[in-house]
Amino acid sequence: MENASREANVRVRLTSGPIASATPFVLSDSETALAGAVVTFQGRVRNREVDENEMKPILGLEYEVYEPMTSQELHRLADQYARKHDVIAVDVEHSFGFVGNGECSFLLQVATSHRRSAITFVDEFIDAMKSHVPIWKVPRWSMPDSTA
Amino acid sequence: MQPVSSRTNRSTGELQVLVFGPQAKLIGCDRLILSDVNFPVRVDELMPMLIHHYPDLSASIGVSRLAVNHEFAAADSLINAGDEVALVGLISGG
Repeated sequence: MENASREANVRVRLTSGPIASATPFVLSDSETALAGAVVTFQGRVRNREVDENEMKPILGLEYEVYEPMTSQELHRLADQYARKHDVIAVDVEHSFGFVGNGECSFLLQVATSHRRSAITFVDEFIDAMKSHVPIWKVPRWSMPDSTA
Repeated sequence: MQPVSSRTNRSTGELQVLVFGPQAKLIGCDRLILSDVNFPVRVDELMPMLIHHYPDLSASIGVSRLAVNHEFAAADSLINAGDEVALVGLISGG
């Protein structure tokens, strides 16, 4: 069993608009030597959202953040779950402002020694983020479908 | 969660509470304004005041938390005049 108290390299960024391309996930030589698993997760905007119990088409989502609290909470949670899962390095990037449907609004990259801990980290971190981090989204609705 | 403030500066005045996302859209503005608030006021005393003055938020305020000076505040935390207060509810990152 590996020591689960390693100090992880945690990076957090907020980006205006869609995340067009992944920031290179740079690991140091010592981190690379230990990182047997690197998992990248992209959150993308769907083309529909629920409105009054009905799915309706959207152009995209308007994301709102509350700085510096948003960055602080992202960093705190990333650090907390990194310690729990013996993460070597984690990079969190989230959009603010408008992100059109099909575009990326959230990018999570994590390096661990083994696959399972990286996948579990992604799952648990995202659940925690959705419950605790002040990030809001408001749909920008499409015009009513003329064929409807 | 940490106690937000141990100061007990007594005064009466206006309190603005920042509001975001769907809640801001619902009430049509980005802050809630309460007049004649007796400071310091506890977080769990402030929530019913917000519901009373902004009944449109009553459905969502039960799943909301208050942040004071950019940190989540416990129910028994004290809010003083000049603190930055935000309503954090209906969040949905990702």
